Amino acid sequence: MARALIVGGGGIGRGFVPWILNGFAIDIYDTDTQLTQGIAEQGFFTSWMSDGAELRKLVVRPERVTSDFADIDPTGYDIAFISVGPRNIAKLPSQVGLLTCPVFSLENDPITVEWLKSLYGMKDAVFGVPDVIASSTASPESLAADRFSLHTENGVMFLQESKRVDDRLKALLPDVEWLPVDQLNAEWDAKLYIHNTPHCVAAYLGYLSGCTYLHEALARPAVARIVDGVVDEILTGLKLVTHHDHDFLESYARKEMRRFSNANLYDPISRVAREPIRKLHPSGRLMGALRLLLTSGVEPVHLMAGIAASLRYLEPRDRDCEALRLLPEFGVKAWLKFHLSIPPGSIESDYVAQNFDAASAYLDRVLA
Amino acid sequence: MSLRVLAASISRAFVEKVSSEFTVVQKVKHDQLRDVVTPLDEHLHQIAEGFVASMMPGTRLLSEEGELTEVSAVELATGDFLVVDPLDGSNNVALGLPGFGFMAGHLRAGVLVGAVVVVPEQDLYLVVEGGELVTSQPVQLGAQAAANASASVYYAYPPHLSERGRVARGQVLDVIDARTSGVYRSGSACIGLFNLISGRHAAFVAHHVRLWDALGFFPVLSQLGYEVRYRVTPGSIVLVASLSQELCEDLAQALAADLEGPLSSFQRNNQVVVCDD
Repeated sequence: MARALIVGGGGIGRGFVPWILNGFAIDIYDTDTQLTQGIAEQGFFTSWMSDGAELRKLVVRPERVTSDFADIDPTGYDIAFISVGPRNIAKLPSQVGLLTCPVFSLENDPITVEWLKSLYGMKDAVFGVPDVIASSTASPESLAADRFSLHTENGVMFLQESKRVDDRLKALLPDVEWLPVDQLNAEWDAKLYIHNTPHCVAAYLGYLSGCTYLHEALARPAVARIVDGVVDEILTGLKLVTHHDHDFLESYARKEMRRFSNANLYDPISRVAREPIRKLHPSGRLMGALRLLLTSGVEPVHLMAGIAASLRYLEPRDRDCEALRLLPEFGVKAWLKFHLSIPPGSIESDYVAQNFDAASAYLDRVLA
Repeated sequence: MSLRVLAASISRAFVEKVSSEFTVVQKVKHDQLRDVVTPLDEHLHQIAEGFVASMMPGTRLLSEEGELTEVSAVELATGDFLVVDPLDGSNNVALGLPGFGFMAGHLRAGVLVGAVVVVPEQDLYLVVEGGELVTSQPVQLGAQAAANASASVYYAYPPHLSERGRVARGQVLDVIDARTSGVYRSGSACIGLFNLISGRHAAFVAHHVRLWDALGFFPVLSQLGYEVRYRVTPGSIVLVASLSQELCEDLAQALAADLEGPLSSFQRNNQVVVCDD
């Protein structure tokens, strides 16, 4: 039987990846000992896939689920997936570099592949784009039946073609779309800006609106209006400055609001909104999108509202909360410089500094 | 109130007060051309002064640009002070050269309970508080940024040293030249110390510099596991810091000719031994 290792038992790793591993023996590594011990004792966990109005059930019985990488035989797998969050890549156990199988980073940023290569010597690590919204939790009913259950949507796993992946392995993964790296990067571009940007904006707006789940936020007309506006602005920008097929961009954008509004996902705002400083990275889904729009001549009115909302994400349990609390003392320009190295005088810094107060006032008005 | 608020206010000032009117030389202190004061020095000092007045009741400000610049050894060892260099590297700022920063150490009953360092050219502030080191961005420091084989040694010393001091200086330079790629001086102890913790320097030596030129960095060095040997008097600091215990010891020995007593070792409890001048 083929064997797969999933590093990171969160929404993607535990909620979505098992759906493509039909017929594989699965091992899971995660640093959360409560999670791993609990699943090990229980012997299984449940993933629920939202497919239109229907919820499909998958009971996953991992062979091994552990928080100690010494329990893992790095030579014993046919494929491995890493999905621990970009900030945690540097905290992986060093033995992860001993994996001999093809390793796919599902970390939402191709730079993580370079990190795996440089930090752990994984010279054959490649990229994957799980085009899916996978919650880190489940509905109250699902949790009552299995406290380790998760909800996910019916997404698509795009994996980079690699000489390490032979036809035998591909045959074992019929639900995977294999793409050459250029095409995968095009998918990632679209995913980053058309999916990730409005997705996190919806989360920040939802936080300010007092919502718990993303679908609750999208049910509010003011939030939906702003998120729609972000999608339109991003779409216009991408059409102006990239060579992506416009039909592809349009169709991808059309399905986004439906995905975000899926009431079967139970995707917590705390998951989608987490670590706003990472999401505000100069090349990322918020500031990267801002630069894209400003340099292509698209007025980022709705995106600016989203950025203002991200700078007001003061969830006490989030690791970035303390830094964001100090925004009034820093002032916008100094905050962006010292936390993100966005230089004062740059197009992004100037725009956000000039428009933050007005955008904040607008949010207070429409989200009240 | 957290020292991070002070870090925020200082960081803001570095961004907002960068025009030429803030970097002109306003005065030269003690007839020392390296000891200039700019409007930026004054502004940063006023921020620290305001912070102490409003957020640190009972604490006295000991600042390079303040009225209170001298205290006794007993006062220093038992009192509550925020020891501040508002703009370390003022002459670099005035000349348009790189290398400047802000340092503050909170000394309470002889224990350094907190520190703030702001290095705007690195887009970074560091705060030590509650036994924890916080940086504004992820950065590799200390053992994670272990010094290169070709690392130099930053050596800070004042313009006038006694005869014994000049002898000791020669001995320090001999150790530096024999053991490392050489001496480095750039007009800012703050940047010298930052380059130490970033792995660019193998060691940092401060030879009878002023209290505020280095005290604020002690908690940072301690948090990062540096070997720190020092002598603090109300008038000056002697400091040797390195990840290498051996190099630290050799440099401390070289300085011994100019010291009234042995250097103390700065421990994780952050207790500072204050000697008489």
